Amino acid sequence: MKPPPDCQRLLESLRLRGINRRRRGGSGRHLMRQRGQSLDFREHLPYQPGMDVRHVDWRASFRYGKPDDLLVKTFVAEEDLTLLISVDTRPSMWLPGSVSKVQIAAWLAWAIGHIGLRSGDRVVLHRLYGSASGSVREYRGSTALDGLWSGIESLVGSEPADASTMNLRGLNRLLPPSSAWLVLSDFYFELDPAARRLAAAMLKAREGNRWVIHGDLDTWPAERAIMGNGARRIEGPGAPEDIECDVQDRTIAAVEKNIEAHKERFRELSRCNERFHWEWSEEWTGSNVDAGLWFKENLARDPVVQQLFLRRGSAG
Amino acid sequence: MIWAGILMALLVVLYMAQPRFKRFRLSSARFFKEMPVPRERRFRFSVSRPELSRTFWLQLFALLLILIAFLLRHQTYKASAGGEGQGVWVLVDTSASMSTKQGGKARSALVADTIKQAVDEANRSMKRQFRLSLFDMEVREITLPDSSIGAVLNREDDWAPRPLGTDLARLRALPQPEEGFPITHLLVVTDRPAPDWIADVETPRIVWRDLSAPVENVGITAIDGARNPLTGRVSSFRVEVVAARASSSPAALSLAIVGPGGRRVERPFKNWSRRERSFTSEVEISAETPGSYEIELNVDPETSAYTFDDTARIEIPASGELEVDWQLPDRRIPDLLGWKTETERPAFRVAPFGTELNPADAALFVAAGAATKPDAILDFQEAHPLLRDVNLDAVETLSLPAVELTEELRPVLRRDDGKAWLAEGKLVPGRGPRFVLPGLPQLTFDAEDNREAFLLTTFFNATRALLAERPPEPLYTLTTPLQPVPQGTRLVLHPGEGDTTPDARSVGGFDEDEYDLPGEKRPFWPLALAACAVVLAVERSLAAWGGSKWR
Repeated sequence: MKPPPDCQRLLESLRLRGINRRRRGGSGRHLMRQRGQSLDFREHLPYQPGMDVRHVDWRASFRYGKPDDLLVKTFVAEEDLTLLISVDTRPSMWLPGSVSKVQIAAWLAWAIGHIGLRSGDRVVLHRLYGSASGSVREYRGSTALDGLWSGIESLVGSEPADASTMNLRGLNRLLPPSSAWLVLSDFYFELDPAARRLAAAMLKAREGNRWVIHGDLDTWPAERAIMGNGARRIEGPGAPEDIECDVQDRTIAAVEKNIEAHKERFRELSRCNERFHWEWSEEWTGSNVDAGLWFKENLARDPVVQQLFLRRGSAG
Repeated sequence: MIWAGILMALLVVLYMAQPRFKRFRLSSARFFKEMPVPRERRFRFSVSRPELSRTFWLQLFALLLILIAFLLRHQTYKASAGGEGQGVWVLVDTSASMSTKQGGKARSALVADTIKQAVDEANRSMKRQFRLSLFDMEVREITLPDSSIGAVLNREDDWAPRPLGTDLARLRALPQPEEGFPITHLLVVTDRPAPDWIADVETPRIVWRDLSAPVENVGITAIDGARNPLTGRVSSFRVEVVAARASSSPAALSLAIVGPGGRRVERPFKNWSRRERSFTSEVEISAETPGSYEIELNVDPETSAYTFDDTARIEIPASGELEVDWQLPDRRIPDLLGWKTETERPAFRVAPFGTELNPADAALFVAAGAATKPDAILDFQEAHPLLRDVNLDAVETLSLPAVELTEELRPVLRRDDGKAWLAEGKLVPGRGPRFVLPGLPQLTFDAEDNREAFLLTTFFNATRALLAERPPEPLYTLTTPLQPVPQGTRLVLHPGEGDTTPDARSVGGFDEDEYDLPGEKRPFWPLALAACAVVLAVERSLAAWGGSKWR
């Protein structure tokens, strides 16, 4: 696994940009990050036994409440954001050979984790497939930055993970109310029970007001260019036997449609419409690819990644 | 070129029929599972297929270069400038006589020195280009790496003698030299004296070098069988030996014969006759038993410079009984002569005149009936074998029957009214020999009976003539360029090969004239193959490092 490119300045820039810019609107069902003083009023609730009587709003109780009711002021709790980054390490993620998807996923996990740790967030790395042992690593605080990349390396490993075992156990514990779940994958899932469980977990997290993001790493444009047209014998994950195929423009279009429909089905199952989409360049047909530059450019301009680090803005 | 085009088309079709599926490993492979069957499988001869592959065109270009190399395998190109000088075609004799020992060496070992001497006698500063051919019963071209005299002299192994005869007539009709290689001189190195005809040849100038020297040799020069003219049976054979350049007749010379039963007989040579520079003698050996006879001269190796004529093996044919299809009712003659009856493949057929026979069969037709009166001779063919020993004066008194001539017959002895007493079939390819006789002898053997004498003589004349048409089975054969190895009854008794008596006769020499010479020529095909190798190397390199469009 190649180490991530030198992009400390870019990451710091992204972090500062998130602090300085306010999220517009504040609408939507995503939780916003909430830090600092937790005296922000949320709402009045009828007093229930066990509530802190110090928070009874006597004035409001007398003005609005029923005679025998007291209204209690509630505040938005002070919450740290949890960034859960799930990395897909199935065999398809280890392709193409020039710059693999798992390589970019690892860099991306490192970059987002880096910003998160610098911002004081809790960062949890999660291996989606393979052995459950060591599939989760938690980091908190700037001091954890040093071990972040080595943690990612050991999490990803050096070989493709077994696509038949999915690590979803205990995921709820990793996703507290104020958390974002970023899944880095090519989403070439067979829609088998395991993938459906993943989709169900994403749906449940989303319904619990977690921010679920599909990080779609799409190598199809580069693979299409590498393959070209003509008589081809195609092999790869998910194809138990070599496929002999006369690749023409209409074949390309059909496969493209097939891929998009496949991903769309998964999105429907998980009811997730928040995603970022990184496409491998068609020019990447050789080995002389400046993957680091491409990674930095994508990271700098991706709106979803930037949005991940925006501070809570004022409503309206 | 038509064949080349067809071959190219075949290659293209083959390429298209067997498309090369390029292998790719893709993360999206699973999405190709639902794709339709490859078009190459449904339409194997897709016209669009070659256009899609750059490597195909490179490979096709390489194949084209291979084809060009094959088609132009005889083409040459000028590799260097020519200039002025002489073009010398060296022709070296490789016949059996070149193995003759002369001064302790075979004559073939003297060839290189003879060539060098011939060239050195001339102006040594003259620029000369050489080519080399060998001759015996055929002329063989030797390909030289360059046209220098050194290249010629380095091919000494090539001119080892072969057990074949010498056909000097082939030197008169040499194949035309390559275009652009002017032959100004023919340098013939042989052990035969220069023939007279070379005086008539003006160009190219012939330099004849006879490297032979007379040496003593004793050897068999002829083996003849004594054959029965009617049956072809060999009852004995004669072996002739010649002691060439001998000072006296070899008194103790004998011939050892091992017959079919393994019985060894030794026969001394006596009654030597002197002929100029040699002595000749012969022995006759009875060969009652058919089969193989091995013959060996009991000769002193010191007096036998040429060894191919010291031994021989002959085969006395087993056949000897005549098989005839006798279709006449009177069988006294075949019974008397012991002829066997054979209707399928007889030596010849004897039938009444007018009988329809297979045109390819040899036949003797006998006229039927009797003449009404004596008649005069109109004409006859002089020296015809049927008329040998025939008393023509008596014919006019014999009242013999005659036949009307048909288109297929021509008269041998014709009477005054145009009918023929004796006739023969016209010589037409594919038709067997045929004779017409006026009747058969009655076997009275009465010397005074002219009619019986005429019929007896003409009958045996006709029989001999018919049998003469059958080639007798040879006692031995000679080696040929196709079968150059002496083996069994295949001998090296070519005329003149063992004759060591003639004095050497060399004629001619190199003149001082200079001629325009072409540049050094080299074959074209290695260039085409080298270009092909480069194209294939480029194609493979592009396939390895040039990206997917070159794969």
